[in-house]
Amino acid sequence: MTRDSFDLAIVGGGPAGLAAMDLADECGLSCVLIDENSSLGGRIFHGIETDGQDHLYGTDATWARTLVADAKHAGSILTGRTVFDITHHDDGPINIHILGDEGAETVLARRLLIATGATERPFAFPGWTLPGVMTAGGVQTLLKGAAVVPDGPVVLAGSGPLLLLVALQLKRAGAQIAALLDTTPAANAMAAAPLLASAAFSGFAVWRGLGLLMAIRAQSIPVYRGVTKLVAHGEDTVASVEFEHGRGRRRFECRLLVTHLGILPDTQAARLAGCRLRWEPALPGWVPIVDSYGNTSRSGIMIAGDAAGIGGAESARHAGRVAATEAATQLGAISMGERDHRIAPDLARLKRLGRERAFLDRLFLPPERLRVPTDDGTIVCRCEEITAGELRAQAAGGVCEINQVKAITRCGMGPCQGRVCGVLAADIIADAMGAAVESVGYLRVRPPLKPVPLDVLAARAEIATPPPEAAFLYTREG
Amino acid sequence: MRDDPDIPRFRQLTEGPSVEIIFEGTRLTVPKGISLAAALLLHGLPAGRIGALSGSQRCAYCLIGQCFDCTMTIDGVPYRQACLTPVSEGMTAERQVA
Ligand SMILES: Cc1cc2nc3c(=O)[nH]c(=O)nc-3n(C[C@H](O)[C@H](O)[C@H](O)COP(=O)(O)OP(=O)(O)OC[C@H]3O[C@@H](n4cnc5c(N)ncnc54)[C@H](O)[C@@H]3O)c2cc1C
Ligand code: FES
Repeated sequence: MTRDSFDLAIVGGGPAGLAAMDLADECGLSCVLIDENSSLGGRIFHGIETDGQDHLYGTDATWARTLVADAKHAGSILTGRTVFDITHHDDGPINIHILGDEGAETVLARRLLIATGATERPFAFPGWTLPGVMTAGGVQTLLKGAAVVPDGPVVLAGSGPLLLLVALQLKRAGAQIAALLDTTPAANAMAAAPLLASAAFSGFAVWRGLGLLMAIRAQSIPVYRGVTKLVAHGEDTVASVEFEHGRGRRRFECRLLVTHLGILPDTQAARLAGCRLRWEPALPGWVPIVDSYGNTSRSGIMIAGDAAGIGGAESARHAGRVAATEAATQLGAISMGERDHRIAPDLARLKRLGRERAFLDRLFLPPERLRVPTDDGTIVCRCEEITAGELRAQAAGGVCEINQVKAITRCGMGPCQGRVCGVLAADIIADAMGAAVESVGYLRVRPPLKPVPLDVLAARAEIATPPPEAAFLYTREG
Repeated sequence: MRDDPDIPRFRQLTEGPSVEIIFEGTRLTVPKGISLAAALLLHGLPAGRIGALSGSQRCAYCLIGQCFDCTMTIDGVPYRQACLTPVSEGMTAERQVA
């Protein structure tokens, strides 16, 4: 079925997408917002529509609720739908193919804003595929979306603001935190120090971070610093966690290990749409090439928020407003003068927020020794169960381009399409070759973005070219 | 049926309306509106696929729709993500090899 045509389609109901929706409506555009979650809010405001947990969003709860309420009045909202393909012919509208409970549909739009946010950087170590290892964002999603918390001792391990925040949120929700294992290298603080003053005067991130550290201390969460050589032990599930720190090796019994190593832009939809990426050494990682209005290398397609580079929720909101205003200008709804007048405060704020981000990026920069698992037996591709050793063997044989490695080993060929293992595999190959990570490239994305029933695909001949890989197709009756 | 591994325990902070779902033939009472992955975790059940290669049990890992470790057959349709699917009255769910 083909839905109505819209001026603007937005993928992602986080702060970027929601703010864009509101602004686009103000400029007189017809718009639709699509999100695969069953409710709005994105990652940071996941669950904001359910009552009773406002404390989880701190002082942001008020503006987040307003953002959601305004967006709902600003156009059509399609939650519970995944965008699985984006096609675009010449001067015609952009076709956004979505899959939900009622089957597949196509949304037509004159402009497309990709606001798909971020994903967590993979943190691979021996045992990370065992049931009982979960990401910090995942455990936080259980808390925000379902008020579900771990029962029994929890160990958290890794680096980054989200890990600290989740440790505190779990503790306040009554979870038993056995230990917080901080893998941030001590040298990071020194390297970030010159950026501190400018960051502290640009926004609240530094102050919030300090508050977080003090709260963790006040809650008496045991923190171990300079942690390396993390291993999860257990037969079928996690039974204990072992690691090294300044004073030797230690082991904790626990059934839940929560890990985190920072976040990266979710570029899946951007790559599918053919937008060009560039290497961003500050993350380090690939980010889409966008101008200051959110325009990508593909005409008609824009990106805003963490999907365009990690900036955080407040940045995402401003970037969403900027992109929507730009779309309205391109479609002739407002003049360029009006655009510039409207977005001047947003652009100024984005510039200041960029300064605190530079500090945070440097402070939590993940070192290579955490990004590259040393043990050859460690699984890299969770779907196809390909190990670090298998990838290193390819590198030793001279195969050094990531799509070639995928074709030979099947690493990244499972249903997740390399969402988890893509960056990890590139790090391992680059390390083994002694080459720069960016020289290894990034995985190409093929439609469908997520597994789609065969009959859906058959009905859409255009999607079948190039032929999708077998892992993405299935028949409806098992 | 295989032995269920001892997956980590979870509990819910709030109390509210519930629905009934059927997991591999067993009726479960679960909180309304939460994801199937969260609902199974509350019952100490492995919310995840069986690895196609190793045959090992997986469990929901990212809970935001990225990793596919929560892949299950839901209401007869395979390859669905339990972390993105809200429970509904009478929903059936089975583990699958993937
Ligand atoms: C798990 C997780 C938890 C986080 N928690 C916090 C926090 O507590 N505090 C904080 O400051 N920052 C947090 N962050 C950082 C977060 O990236 C930003 O703060 C903020 O949410 C970014 O906003 P955004 O609008 O760019 O995108 P997001 O808020 O990430 O929203 C993107 C939305 O796009 C949807 N989407 C993606 N792909 C598709 C598709 N193909 N089809 C349909 N929908 C799609 C997703 O379902 C999601 O709702 C978290 C990040 C992650 C990954
Ligand atoms: S738990 Fe990762 S996709 Fe559902």
